[in-house]
Amino acid sequence: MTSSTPTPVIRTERLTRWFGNIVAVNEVTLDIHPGITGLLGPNGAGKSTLIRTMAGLARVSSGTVTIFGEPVRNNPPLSRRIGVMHEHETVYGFLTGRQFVTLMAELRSVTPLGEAVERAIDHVELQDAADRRIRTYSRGMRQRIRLAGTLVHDPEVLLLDEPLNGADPKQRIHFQRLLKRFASEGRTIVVSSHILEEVERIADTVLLLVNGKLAASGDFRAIRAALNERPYHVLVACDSPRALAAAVVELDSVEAVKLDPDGRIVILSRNVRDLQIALPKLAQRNSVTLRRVVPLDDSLESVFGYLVEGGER
Amino acid sequence: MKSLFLLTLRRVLAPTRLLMIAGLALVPFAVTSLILLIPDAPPVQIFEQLILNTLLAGAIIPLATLATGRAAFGDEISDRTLANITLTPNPRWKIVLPKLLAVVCVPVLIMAVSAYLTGYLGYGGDRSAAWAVTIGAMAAVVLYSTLFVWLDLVTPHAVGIGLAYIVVWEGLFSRFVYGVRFFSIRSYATSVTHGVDERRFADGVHTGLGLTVAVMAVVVAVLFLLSVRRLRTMDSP
Repeated sequence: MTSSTPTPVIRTERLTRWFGNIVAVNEVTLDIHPGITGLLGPNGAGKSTLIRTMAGLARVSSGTVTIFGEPVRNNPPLSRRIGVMHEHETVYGFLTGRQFVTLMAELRSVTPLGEAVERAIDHVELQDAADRRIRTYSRGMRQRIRLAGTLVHDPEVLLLDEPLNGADPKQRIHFQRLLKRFASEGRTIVVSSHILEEVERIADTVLLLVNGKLAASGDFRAIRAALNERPYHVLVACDSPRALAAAVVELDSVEAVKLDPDGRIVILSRNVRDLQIALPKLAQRNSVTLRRVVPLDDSLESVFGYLVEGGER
Repeated sequence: MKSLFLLTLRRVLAPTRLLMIAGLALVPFAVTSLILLIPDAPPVQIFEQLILNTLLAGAIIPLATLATGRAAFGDEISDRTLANITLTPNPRWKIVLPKLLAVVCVPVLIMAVSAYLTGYLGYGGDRSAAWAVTIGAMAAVVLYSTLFVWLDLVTPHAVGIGLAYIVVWEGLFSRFVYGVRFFSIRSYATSVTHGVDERRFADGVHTGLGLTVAVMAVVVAVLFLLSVRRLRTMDSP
């Protein structure tokens, strides 16, 4: 199946979840098809709540969630088809890795048990440490054994909340390959992350969640293109701001320049790379000493904020 | 169900918890031994009221079961491992039942030994009296455990509320407010002891053994069903 499959595997309609007076997920309507879907958003955006409601772990305040057309809450048989790895380290430190995966398999009545357990441990390449107690594992190893527990019943749908937390670069690459392989087998995989680049490497489709709302969705390349075109604010402190401002405004990479009340320059640019190269040369040519050059909106929140504004325009 | 039973049993048998229950179990026996060392030992009614009723059934057993009861769901909610269990195709009663059995089986054995030895010592070697105390104590373990398992599912403050219940309801109200004893696990335990051996707690007003057992069965069934319902409707951490 491809992403053009008409019937979505996961569907939410006007899904809303309140915690007291705080709305964690606000009227989210989306369809998820087989393949890898990245659920992207800054911390506190509502990603975990959305995954938890999709998994049936949390109630919805209003709206609906279905997987394979079935409601997810109070539907234990559906659990056979879903694997959920949520953000917290849900492991039993007193068990060995193999005991943990075996327990997960037993609870789902997996047969043949031993074969499934070994396959799941092989998937996460943890055979060497499988007989050690989980409390002795590193964070990355605990994530991997949790993933093995999630995979042991061979689910058709995987809901993975920040699965790469604590993983080292080698493990990340292995994990990305693993997910791509699962996706090529026709599974539906939702991976949440607050790291753009991480999602970019694995997901074909992206759901962007900001402040509990679905801010953007679709092909990652379109979102990335929008990102590359976004304007950046750069703050420059120097000994002669008026002279530098007059020179900087002539640069092609600069859209606007203003002086703030403290005598610092704020430059608006759509091509920060060119600005980075040109600024020191310009300062030298005008005998200006640069004291600080600080990108003002390089934080993840500003990136998401830009995308949200872009989506609303 | 076996997997969940064994998983919960491992939590119950955690060394700290086990040590605590064993320590509590020694208290009634130790206090009884000390009392018997006094040259003019108090009458049997004092032993029954202070040691068996107030200390064993009203404090030691509820404290021990409050500690072990947490192994069913309280610990899993605290360390967020409950989702591993709820995200399975098992009906909720098949989750609650093995967990309840696991948190009952350890304290029921330990408290049975404690109750038997305390009864045997306190009643001067009367084995039938000791057995009556033991059966009453075992009944109390089952009831308290079922109550605290449910309490862990409905509130994150189960320990505080459980302690308040032990002190206020079982310790004060059930002793001094007449009607409350019909809703007191401590009173059920003494009624069972009296029902098995009518010479014991002879001064008190007791419901018949059959009625007491029936009421206890209803209480356990209702609390069990409430736990199943709660597990079905709650958000898993």
